[in-house]
Amino acid sequence: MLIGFPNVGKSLLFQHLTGRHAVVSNYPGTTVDFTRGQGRLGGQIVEIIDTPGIYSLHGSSRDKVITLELLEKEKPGLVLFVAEAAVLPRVMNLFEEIRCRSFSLILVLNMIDEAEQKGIRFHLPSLEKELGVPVVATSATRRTGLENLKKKMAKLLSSPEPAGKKKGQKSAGSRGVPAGWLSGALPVRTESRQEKLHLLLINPWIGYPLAFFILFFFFYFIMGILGAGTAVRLLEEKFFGEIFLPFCDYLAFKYISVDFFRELILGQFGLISMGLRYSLAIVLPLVTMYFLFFALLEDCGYLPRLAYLLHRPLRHLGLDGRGAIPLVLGFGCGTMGVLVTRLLETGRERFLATFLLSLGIPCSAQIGLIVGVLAPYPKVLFLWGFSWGCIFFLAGMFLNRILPGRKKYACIEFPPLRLPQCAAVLRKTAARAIWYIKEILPFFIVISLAFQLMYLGNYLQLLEQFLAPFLQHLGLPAQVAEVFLFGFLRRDYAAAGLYDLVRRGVLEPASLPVCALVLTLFFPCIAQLVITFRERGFKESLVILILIAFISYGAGYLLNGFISAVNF
Amino acid sequence: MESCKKSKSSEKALPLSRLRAGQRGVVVSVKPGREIDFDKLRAFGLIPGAPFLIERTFPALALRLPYASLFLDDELAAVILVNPTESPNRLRKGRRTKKKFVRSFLYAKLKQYLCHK
Repeated sequence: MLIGFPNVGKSLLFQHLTGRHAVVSNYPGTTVDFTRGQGRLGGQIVEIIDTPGIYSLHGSSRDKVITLELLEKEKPGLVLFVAEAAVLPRVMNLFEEIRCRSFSLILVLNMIDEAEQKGIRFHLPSLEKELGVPVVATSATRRTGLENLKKKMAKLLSSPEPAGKKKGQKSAGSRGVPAGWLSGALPVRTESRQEKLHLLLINPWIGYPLAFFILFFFFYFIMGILGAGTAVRLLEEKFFGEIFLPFCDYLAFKYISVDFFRELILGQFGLISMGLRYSLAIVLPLVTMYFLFFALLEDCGYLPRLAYLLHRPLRHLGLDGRGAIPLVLGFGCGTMGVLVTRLLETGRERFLATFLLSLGIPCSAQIGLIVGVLAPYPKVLFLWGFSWGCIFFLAGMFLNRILPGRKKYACIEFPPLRLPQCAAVLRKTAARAIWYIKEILPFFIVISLAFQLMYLGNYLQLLEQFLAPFLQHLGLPAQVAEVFLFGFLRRDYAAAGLYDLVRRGVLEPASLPVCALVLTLFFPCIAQLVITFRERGFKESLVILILIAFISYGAGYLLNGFISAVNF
Repeated sequence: MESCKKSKSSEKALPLSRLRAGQRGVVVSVKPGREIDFDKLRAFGLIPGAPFLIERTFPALALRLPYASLFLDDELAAVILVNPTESPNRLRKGRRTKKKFVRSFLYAKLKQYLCHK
C-alpha cells in the first residue's frame, strides 16, 4: 500500500510496480478513491493499493478517512511511505503517525534526482538507522531505484515474522523526528533559472499578459483551429458524414423495416446520428486536445501560478485561487470546467464554481459566434459585454453572501517548475480520454434517445409554443425559442441560429443585446448539464438550474427595459 | 496545538500581513481558529521557528519557506505572528488602517467640495 503527501509521485510509482495496465490517477488532490492493482514481486503476485495524497492521518476530510479506514481494514502487509526527497523533513509528522501504527514500512525517497540537483544528498544507511525503517531512493520518472525497491519489498513481505513488531519496538526507543528539522536553514534567494522563472510567472506585470497569451493560444489555436477545425472536420465530415453514416443508413434500410425504430437510430437526434456522432466525432477530439494541453500545464506546474494571479478577484466570489482553473477552462468548454471543479476542497466551493460555470461562462465556440454576430454593432457588443460581466460578478457575490458555511483560509503550495515528460503526458492524456468515453458515452446516448422521442412525438414544437409568451416579455420574436432549444443541445448552434435570425432580419439590432445576454446566461448545453448532474447530484443541480432560469430571465427583462427606456 | 504556544519573543511579534516583499523573518505563532487547516500548515513547514522570506505581497502573499514555496490568504497572514529579522520599521499598514485612511481621505475631499459650493 502506497501512502504519502499529494503530488509526490505515488501514482507513477504505482504504475511502475503494477505494470502498464494501471489506472492513472485523476486530477491531483482529487483522487478520492483508491486504486488497486497487481504487481509481480520476485515470482509472487501481490496486490498493491494506491491511496489519495494526505497531509495527516487525523482529521475529518474525506480522503483522510478513506485512507485511515483502508489502513485499519486491509491491514496491509507492507506500507510504502512515499516522500519527495528534497523536502523530506516536511513529511516526518505523517511518517511518525503511520509508524506508530506498527506496520512494516519502507520509506521511499522519490524524486531523488531532483534533490541531487539541488545539492541534497542522503546517506541512506545512517538514515535507516535513525528512523529504524528501510529507506530506498527512487526516481519514478527516470525509473531508477525501482529494482532495489522491489527487492526490499519482496524481502520484507517474505519474512515470516511480521516486521512491524520489531519496528514498533525500535520506534519506541528512538523517537522519531530529529528536533528542529523543519526549521532548517532557509535557502538564500538562489539565482537558479527555476527560481527566476517562478518570480517572473507570479509577477503581475508579466504574469497577466502571459496567462492571457497562453490561454488565448490554447483556446484559439489548439482547440479552435487544430481541434474544432481540422480534427473535427476530418472525423465528423469525412468519416461520419461520408463513410459511417451512409453505411449505417444503408444497413438500416436493408434490415429495419419499422420507420419508428429507424428514425430512433438515424433521425435528426438519433442514437447514431446524434448521440454517437456528437460524442465521438465532435466532443472527443476536442476533449483529447484539451486533456493533452491540460496535462502539459499540470505537469510543468504552471496552474498554481495562474491560481496565484487570480486569487484576489475570485475571493469575492467565494472561491480561492484554485477556482481559477475550472473557470478559465470553462471558457474553452464548460463541460471540462465542471469536471475540474473536483479539485476544489469544499462542497460549497464546488457548488459555487459549477453555478458560475453554468450561468456565466460562455464556451469558446459561443463567444466566437456571439462576438461575430454583434461585431457590426459596437454599441451592442459593449452593452452585452458590460451587462454580462456585471451579472456574473453580482450573481457570484450574492450567492457567496447567502450561501451558508464558511471557507477555510487558503494556503496553496507552488510545486517546483518541471519540464513535463513526454511519455507521462501522453499516457495521462490517453487514460483520461478513455475514461471520458467510458463515462460520457452512455449519457450522450440516453439523452439523444430522449430528444429523438420528444421530436418524434412533436413535443419540441409544444415546448416552443410554451416558451413564446415568455420571450415576448423580453421583446423577442417567437422564432428565438428555436434558437434557445438548439442552444440547449449545443451552445454554438444557438449562436449560429442567432446569426441566421439577424441575417434574415427577424431580430432588430435593438433586441440583439437582450437575446445575446440571455443566451449567454441561460442553461448550459446538454453535455455540461449531464456532467453537472453527475458531479453535483440531483438536488444541487436543480437549485442551480432554477437560479439560472430566474437570473437570466430577470437580467434579460431588465436589459430590455433599460434599452426601451433610453431608446437605444 | 503546538502551533499556538507563545514564545518569549511574542510581545514584539507582528502579523505576517504587515511585512513587505523581500523581508525575512521567523514564525512565532499562529492564532488558533476554526478556519485554519493546521495539518496543512505543518505539512508545509509553516510552524513556530520556521524562517521565511516574503517573495511578493501583491496580488497575494507569496512566501518562501525552507522546504516549500506557497501563497496565503490575507486573513491567514493576519493571524500568523512573526518576528521580522531585518528592518522592522518598513511595515505595511494594516487592513483596517488602510480602510480608515481611505475613508477619511474621501470625507475630507467631500467636505472640501461642499464648502466650495
